[in-house]
Amino acid sequence: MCLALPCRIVELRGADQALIDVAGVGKEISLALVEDVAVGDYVIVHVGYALTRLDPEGAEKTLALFAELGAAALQEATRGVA
Amino acid sequence: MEQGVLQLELTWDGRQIVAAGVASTRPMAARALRGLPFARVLEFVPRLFGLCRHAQDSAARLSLLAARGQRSDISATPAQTLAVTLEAIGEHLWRLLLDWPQLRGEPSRQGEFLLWRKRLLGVADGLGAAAFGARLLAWLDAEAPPCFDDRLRSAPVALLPRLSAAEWESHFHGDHFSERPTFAGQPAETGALARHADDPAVSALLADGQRLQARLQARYADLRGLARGLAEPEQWSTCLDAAAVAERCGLARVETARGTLLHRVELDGDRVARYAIVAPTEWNFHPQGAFVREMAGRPARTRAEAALAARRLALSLDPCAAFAVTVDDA
Repeated sequence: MCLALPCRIVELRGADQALIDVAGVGKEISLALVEDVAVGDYVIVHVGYALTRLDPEGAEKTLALFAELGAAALQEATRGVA
Repeated sequence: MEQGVLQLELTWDGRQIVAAGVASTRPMAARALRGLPFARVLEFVPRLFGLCRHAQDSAARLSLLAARGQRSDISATPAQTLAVTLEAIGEHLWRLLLDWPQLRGEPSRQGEFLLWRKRLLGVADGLGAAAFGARLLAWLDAEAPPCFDDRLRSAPVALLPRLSAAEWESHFHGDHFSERPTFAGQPAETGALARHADDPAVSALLADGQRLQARLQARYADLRGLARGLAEPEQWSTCLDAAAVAERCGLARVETARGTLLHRVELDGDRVARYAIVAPTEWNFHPQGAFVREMAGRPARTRAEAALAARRLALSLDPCAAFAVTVDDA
């Protein structure tokens, strides 16, 4: 199952490409599937494509929900993964 | 929380792939839902998942509805069925128009995909869905799966049968069912091939040992079935169901593009005591599952050929996360 972690656009590059920030690591993605994306916007990314652009309020809410899971829950979630 | 990837590890002896393994860094997100009030789960699930958001959302809603026991008739709404159907179509088209051409080194079909995606996102009601379905069926008439000369070298895993949510309950056992599900004690394959193995073209390919090609053929059969279902929703109404399987315990099943998705929830009061999600990728990329079984014994003259065979097989099994292939010497 793919997790919908909001990723922030940090740089627009030519040919529908952009740089996103994923937990402090830069990654280049395609913006071909989304329109009107600007630096600072949040997008949901799947295998190198931005799937959807999130409004700032929605992104913050989603990030807060992810944060709510907490470190303990995440440790449990990743334990025992084959 | 990171999205994680599937690591597909091959062992190659210079002539063939002698072994394959799967390692996953994907988090089992459902465990993190434990202890939450069910209302928070309903808020959380559609935001937690990206590609299969509607399927996950519907499965969560239906399983919680069943667990709370507030209705005896637990069936998907027309809006849920439509959303899940459109989502499955979008995911099939992604594979067919973006991923397969890229893997085969063919010209990009991104423009076509963008057009279909725009049409799909523009479907607002049943009438629009029927028109979209008819258009998609007409387009599919002129389409054919990519062809590969690829034959099985080992006995494949069984195809997962289609069970109702209530029937699934007796197959849920063990602490690791969500991560490494088995059916009757054995790994099994889920997805379009399992759903369409009886299709004449698909079964002919299966009988000839062309399992990868059968999988691709089945994907087209699935897409045609989904398109027809938009015109006649009752044909596709079996794609979601749910049942109260014990006191305060609900189980929901949703057929997605990648296969069967299961949500099982146990409530303690208004809070989640246990939550399990079994996604299609866990069946097909089980440590002894279809990918591992079918990779072993494949001839490969070079490292690059071995890696390409792995990418092709993985794509045919349609993982829901990014994957990376490594080739080690035997």
